[in-house]
Amino acid sequence: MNVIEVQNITKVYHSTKIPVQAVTDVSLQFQQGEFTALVGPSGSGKTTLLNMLGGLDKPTSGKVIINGEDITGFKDSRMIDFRLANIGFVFQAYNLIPVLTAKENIEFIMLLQNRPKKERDARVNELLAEVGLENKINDRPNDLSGGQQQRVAVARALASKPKYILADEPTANLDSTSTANLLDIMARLNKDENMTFIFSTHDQRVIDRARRVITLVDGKVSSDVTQGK
Amino acid sequence: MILLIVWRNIWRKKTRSLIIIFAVMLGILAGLFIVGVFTGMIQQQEEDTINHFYSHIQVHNPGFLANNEVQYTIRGAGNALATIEKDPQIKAASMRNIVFGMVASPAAANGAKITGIIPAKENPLTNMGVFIKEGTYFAENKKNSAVIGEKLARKLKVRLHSKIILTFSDKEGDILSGAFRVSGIYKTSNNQFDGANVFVNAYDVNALLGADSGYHEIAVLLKDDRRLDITENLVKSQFQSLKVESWTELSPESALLSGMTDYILEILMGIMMIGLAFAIVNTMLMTVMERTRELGMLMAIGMNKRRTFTMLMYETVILSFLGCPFGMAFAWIITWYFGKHGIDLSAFSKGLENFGFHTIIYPSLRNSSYIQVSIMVLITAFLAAIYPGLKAIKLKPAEAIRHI
Repeated sequence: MNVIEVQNITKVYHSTKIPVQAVTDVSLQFQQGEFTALVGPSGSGKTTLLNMLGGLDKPTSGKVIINGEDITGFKDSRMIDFRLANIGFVFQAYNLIPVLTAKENIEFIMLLQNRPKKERDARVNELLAEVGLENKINDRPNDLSGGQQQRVAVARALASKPKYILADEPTANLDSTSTANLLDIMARLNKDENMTFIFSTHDQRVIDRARRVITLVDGKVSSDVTQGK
Repeated sequence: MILLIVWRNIWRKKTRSLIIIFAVMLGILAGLFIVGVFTGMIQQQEEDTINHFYSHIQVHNPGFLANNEVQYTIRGAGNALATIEKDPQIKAASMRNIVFGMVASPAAANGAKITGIIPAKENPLTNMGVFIKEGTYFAENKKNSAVIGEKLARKLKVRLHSKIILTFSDKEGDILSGAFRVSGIYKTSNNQFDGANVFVNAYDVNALLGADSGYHEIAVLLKDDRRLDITENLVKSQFQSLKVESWTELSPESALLSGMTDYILEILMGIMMIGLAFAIVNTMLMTVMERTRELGMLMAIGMNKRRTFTMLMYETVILSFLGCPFGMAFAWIITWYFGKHGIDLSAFSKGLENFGFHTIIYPSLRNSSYIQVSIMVLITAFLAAIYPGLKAIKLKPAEAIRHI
């Protein structure tokens, strides 16, 4: 079953005098439980495509259909609610809320979903155990290493029980050990919870672990390979 | 949790938050104190106007007010006074005869309002004795005693016990003169008053004018200011042929100043609030700029615009309100201190006394001023938070997340 379907999307930025075509006529399908890497050189359109998959940006033309719903026509407010209910994000720079503890960062998204406290507490504990940070529950982001922060970010992305997770260069700022840890966690979640992961990455270690690798060059799909792992 | 984030965000940049809190505190302190000083000045002036100069109500023959001529007396003034004094709301009342004439000394002469008073009744009414600098206020009950203002004494170059000549017209227009001796010199807060008013015993004026000369004015002091309208209407109904006026009609400039207190407070606080609003907008815009990436992330993960806007509103309002109680507390302390000890503005005495203001000001703040200021701060904070809040919710998450 297709979770995400991208139909002929093109994205043109008009922020400079000369329009920049970041993504050109891309069509893709993603299925439940995929572990996919979007790769390509800088400026190839990976982040732009990821943003459009997550509803953070709208295509200039084409459609993004998620669970049968065309999200390209959504108004901003509906899009925010849609993201809250369906999409988990992991960012390159972790982007945790600096004034909240690890527990509160994970809990926050569930609060936005108006989940009851009991459920929130149980989920936070479960996710912190999952990412191996049970002992960092009350630490703020500044007190955590980069790897630990990214693990909290993954836990936060999972907290809302999204349909899929989009990760923009999640390992870019991590050392080898932290990268390996994070990939293990994500691979386990993918396998155990059948969670769909789509990464944009330059990192060969991530590419090696992905089951499907989509290569973008100049905003177009140049290859789409299933590695069969 | 939004409130938790708000609270922690406030303390994220401690110095900046403390500067805003301090600015709010200082603004409120300065605003309230200035209002307190102004209110104190006006209250003192109003008290002087009522307790020393005009009393609450005055009764005249209508012709006297129009022409200031000696023949326009109150017919049956004594009976009228007795009727008025029966009202239990009356604290004190007296009648006076008033003539406009000249006061002369061997050195100089000056125009003056000569008021003939009944000392026993006048003392509780105007309490002019408190202003006596030299001599007494008719304590010795000597014939042809006069009490004059310090300014007039300087003009005439006379001292205590000096002889002065009072000259005025009688009913027929004939000139009358009488020699008086200065038995007291007073100094009020009103320079103009001191330069143009001579008090003598009413019997001495009557002796010059003739036995049937009568009285021109009845002044009435009430126990309670709030009864003014009721009592004024009552006296009006009792003496329909006479002109009955309250102090607000007799001294419209004082009434105007009293009425202006609220407007002054609003204008002063308005200016303070504009300054405060700019400080808040500036700080919150800086906050939005600094936290662009964070705000973008919050919107990306699902925090809707209403919540984002509310978060910034809370942040602004709480920040502003943290300074509010401190500002009010300090304003209360300073106003209380100076309200007790006074602010000595004798360096500006000439200017102040020309307008009838005291040189020692006792600031005074009404409770309603504190409430008014709190409401104004709240409204200002709300209004000032709108623009940064709108800026925040207009952010595009995809761009904001990439913001450095």
